[in-house]
Parts: sequence; structure tokens; C-alpha cells
Amino acid sequence: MVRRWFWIPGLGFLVLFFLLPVGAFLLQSVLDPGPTFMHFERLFEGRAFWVSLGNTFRISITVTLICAVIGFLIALRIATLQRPYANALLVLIVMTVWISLLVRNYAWMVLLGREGIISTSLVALGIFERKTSLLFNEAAVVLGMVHVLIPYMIIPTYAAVQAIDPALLRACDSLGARPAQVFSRVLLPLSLPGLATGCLLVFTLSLGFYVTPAILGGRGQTTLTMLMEIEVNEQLNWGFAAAHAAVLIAITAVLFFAYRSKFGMDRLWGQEL
Amino acid sequence: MTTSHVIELKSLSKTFGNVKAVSDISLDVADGSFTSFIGPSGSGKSTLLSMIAGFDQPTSGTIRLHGKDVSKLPSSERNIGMVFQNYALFPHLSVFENVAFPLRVRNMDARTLTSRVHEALESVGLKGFEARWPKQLSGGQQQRVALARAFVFGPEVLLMDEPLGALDKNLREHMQSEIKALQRRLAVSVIYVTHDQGEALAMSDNVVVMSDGRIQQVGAPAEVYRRPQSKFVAQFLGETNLLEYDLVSRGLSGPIGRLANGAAFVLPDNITDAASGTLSLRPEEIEFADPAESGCRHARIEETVFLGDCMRCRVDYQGLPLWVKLPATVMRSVPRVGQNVALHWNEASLVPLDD
Repeated sequence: MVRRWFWIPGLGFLVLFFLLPVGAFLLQSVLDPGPTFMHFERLFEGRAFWVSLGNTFRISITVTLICAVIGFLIALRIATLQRPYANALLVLIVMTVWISLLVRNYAWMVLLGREGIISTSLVALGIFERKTSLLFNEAAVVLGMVHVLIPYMIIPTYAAVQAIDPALLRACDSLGARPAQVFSRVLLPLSLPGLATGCLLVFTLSLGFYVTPAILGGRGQTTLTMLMEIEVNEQLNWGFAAAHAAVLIAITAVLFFAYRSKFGMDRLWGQEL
Repeated sequence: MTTSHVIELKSLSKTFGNVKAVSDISLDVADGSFTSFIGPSGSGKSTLLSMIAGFDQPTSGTIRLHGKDVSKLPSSERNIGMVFQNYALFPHLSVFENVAFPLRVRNMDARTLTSRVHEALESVGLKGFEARWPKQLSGGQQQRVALARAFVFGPEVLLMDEPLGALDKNLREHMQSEIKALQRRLAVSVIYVTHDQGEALAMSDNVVVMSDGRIQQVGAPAEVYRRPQSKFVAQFLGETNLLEYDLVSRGLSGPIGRLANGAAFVLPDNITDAASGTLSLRPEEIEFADPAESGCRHARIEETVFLGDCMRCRVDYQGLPLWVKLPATVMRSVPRVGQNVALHWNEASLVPLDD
């Protein structure tokens, strides 16, 4: 019965490199310098926390919705392609995840900057009067995050769409359903579990995003993770930073369990779609 | 314009790449009839059904539905009910909602919709199953839901693509008679695609035998079975013995032919004048006679297969292998391998074939 012991290395790895460091960090929110709730009190009393929490949620929701619409359309399109083409496109989509986040965000800085191709083109077309930076605003942040996160929407959504029996669509046709009705009554409901998985992934990843809002955003896009970064790197107040992290993790956990009670855990790993 | 045809196909062809799946088919289907398309896989019967349903566009030719040209209409505007081989029930909808689907997309008012759905479910024997999910039903029950969904909106014709293919034998036979009874009660035209010739013979008013994208023969089941026109039809529908003969003379008592084994026999009157030809002789048309009788055809039993209600025997008729099928009630004694018997058949049961 060797199988029984198979989970030990994996569990050991998780405990050693994930649970222990994260746990030690989170504990600081109530143990730094001694047992205390002062970090949380300060957190909930400060205006900065609520504003950045609002920013974080607003940006995450916008990014998730845009990813859902675009990702679903892309997934639908890929599902209608022949197998080899579909697989090639999926590989391309997954490959974008391998490119460093930093590289991709700096690429947007170049594109959206005052001397960037978009600004200069718009001037050449006469739409802008003079070269303007398109950076450091919410649109730039959302654009950058959608670009980075959309694979996490496309993959589970594609899995759901691709699993829909083509005979169902023909049945719709024969039963007199017009294309819009086929979409709203059959295609969308049957894709919903995949879309929900994609939304959960994109939204929770958005909540913890740091690089994109930090690089492409401005004052109005200060997120919780950016506050944390300041506390850790500039204020050296680890306890206070840990309180931020605890709130983020709590929010993620609530979403995660809400998803699980609605769709079940299997869906997240792509089974039974 | 009134017409007694629910469907009229005219010079219908379908080419995939350079493969002709259906070539130049013309066919009229009588209103209210049960018509089966039968043929081996690749004979074009499913492609033909697909074109009638509107899932495939014909390469050339026209399809008329009650006189109206629907060749260019999308499936959703043809008002055709379709039952799919794998049922194609919507997994996210209850039994009620599955059947209500075609009515909902037609924006029917709630009260009429509810009564129509209940009526349809009742007529397929699924009253009380409204709240169930397709996953909770057996194959036969799913098939009934698919059936109810296909006729609840009053389509002009009901198409069925091997609807019983996935069911076991007993259930299949039961569903055959149910579908047939339902078709009579609703007086709806049915086009039924199957590769099971027994199913087609049992259910149809008309069978359309297809192979290689062409219609081989059309007719009532008994007529097509008794009077096959070609070797293909004779062999595809039921079992048969093919007898190759040479025409010897057109004697006073009728034309005389000689088989490959040298035996001479009287041919049916309606054969052509060709020097040689092929006859079909169904195994059940051959009887065992008393070998003592004069002028009889001597044969020896080579193999016997017991089938319950009948027995199949392979006999050696002077060098020519023949299959004989005997009903169980006729067998006074069980035929034994090696036994000498005499064969007897009626000239009228010899059917001349083309080719």
C-alpha cells in the first residue's frame, strides 16, 4: 500500500513553503509587537484602507466583466474551429502566461506613453491635438490586467463550450429557436459553470494584483496590495501589512466557498464539464 | 395549392469535397405516411435527412414541404420536428422545460403552453415526470421526451434519425409499436432513418432502400421484400439465395433455365430475353419434400442453425449451396446434418433481378 503515503511529500512541501511562511506573516497582524488588535483597528479606522479597498473591488469587477465578455466570445469562436486550429490557438493563449508580467506591463507603458505609437498615431490622425500620455489612469490599469488575466477566463470557458453536444444546437434549430434564443436559452446556461470558474479565477487574481496598478495606474488606482507594499518596504510595519493581507485572504476565502457551494469543487479543476 | 405530398424532393444532390453523398434523388412522400430510409452506413440516408431538416444545404436540387420550396430556409423556419439518435435533450432543463422549449421560442402564452406540454407528455406515457431531469431518466424515457418535444409544436413532418439505435432489443421492439401507434393517433407524417431493415419493415407504410447515395427501390414493405428489383435490395432486405442461370429455351410450359450445377428448371414468365440472369429465392420459400417423389430436387443437409421459432439449414443442392428456412411448426422431425432431402419451391417465388 505505497499509495497511502503518496500525499506526504506534497503536503510537506505545502506546509513548509506555503502554510508556514504565510501563516507566520499573517500571525504578525495580531502578534506584532505583542498580542494586539491595534493593526486591524488602525486599518478599519483609516480612510486609505476603505478607498483602496473600493479601488481594488471596482478594478477587479471591471476586469472580470470585460474578461468574461471577451473571453466567452473568444472561447465560442475557438470552439467552432477544427481541432488542430483550436489547439494551436489554445497553446498560443497559454503561452502568453509564460511571458513575464513585468515585461508585458512595461510594453503597455511604451505603447501608451506620450511618445508611444498610440499617442503619435492619434495625433497624426488629427484626433489629438498634441502628444498625450495615456498612462496612469484606470483604463490603462484595466487594459493591462485584462491582457494578463484573460487566459484564465478563456481556458475554463472554452472547456465548457467545447463540451456542449453539437446535436443540442441542431435540436435548437429544428425546434424553431432563432440564433439569439439559442444563445440565451442553451449556449449561455450550458457555459455558465465554465464562465463562473473563469470569473472566480480572474476576480481573485485581480484582488491580489500589484504590478499592473502600480505601473500603469495613478493616484486613483491605489489598491490594497500597493498599501501593503508601502507598509512592508517603506514603513517596515509588517504587522500592519499583515492585517491588509488577512482582509484580502478573508475576502478570497468567502468568494471561494460561495463558489463551491454553488458549483462544487470539481468544476474548478475542469472535470465533469 | 393543395397537395397530397408532405415532402417532394427534386434532383437532390449533396457533394462533400469530391464525394457524392447523395446523387440526384427525386422522391415524393405521401402526407400522413410513415416512410423509412434504409441502407447501409454511407448510403446517404442520414445526409438526405439532414438536408430535409435543414442542417445541410443541398449542392443542387429542391426540397418542397407541403408544396413550398424550403431549400434555402434555415432549419428553424421549416417547422420540422426532429428526433435525434442520442436524444439531444437539454441537460440544464427539466423534462417539462425540454418539451416546452419549442413553444417558448414561439412565445406561446403560458396557459396554452402548459396544457400542450402536459398533453404531449401524457401521450408518450410520461405523465408525472415533468420535474425530472434528463439525467434521471432511462434511455427509453429520454427517447419519449425527445419524441414529445419533437411533435408538441405541431410540425409538418417528424424526422427520426435512428431513434432506437441506443436501446436494447426488447425495449426497441416496444418503442417501435409505440411510435407507430403515436404516429397513427397524431396523423403526422414521419420520415424514419434506420439501418435496421426489420425495424423499417415493421413500422413503415413505405420503405426507401438506398445505397451509394441513390435510391435503389421504393415501395410498401411487403412489396419491396417480395419483389426486390436488384441484387442489392434482395440481399439487404432479409436473406435470400441468389440463383445465376442461363436461359436454355422458351418452351411451351414456359422459359427453361439451367443453374450453374446443371439442373434445369422452369423460370417465371416475366423474365427478360437475356441469355443469362439472376433470380432471388427467399429461404422460407423452399420446402423439404419427400425424396421418394419423382422429379424432385435432391439435396443434402450440410449445416443446421436452430433459431427458436425457426431453423435455418444450409443444403448442398448438387454442388450449389442454398439456405432453407423452416418454421418450427413444420418440422415433423428435426433435420440432421448429412440427411438427404428433396427441395420444393413454387415458380412464382423466383424473382428475377436486374444486373
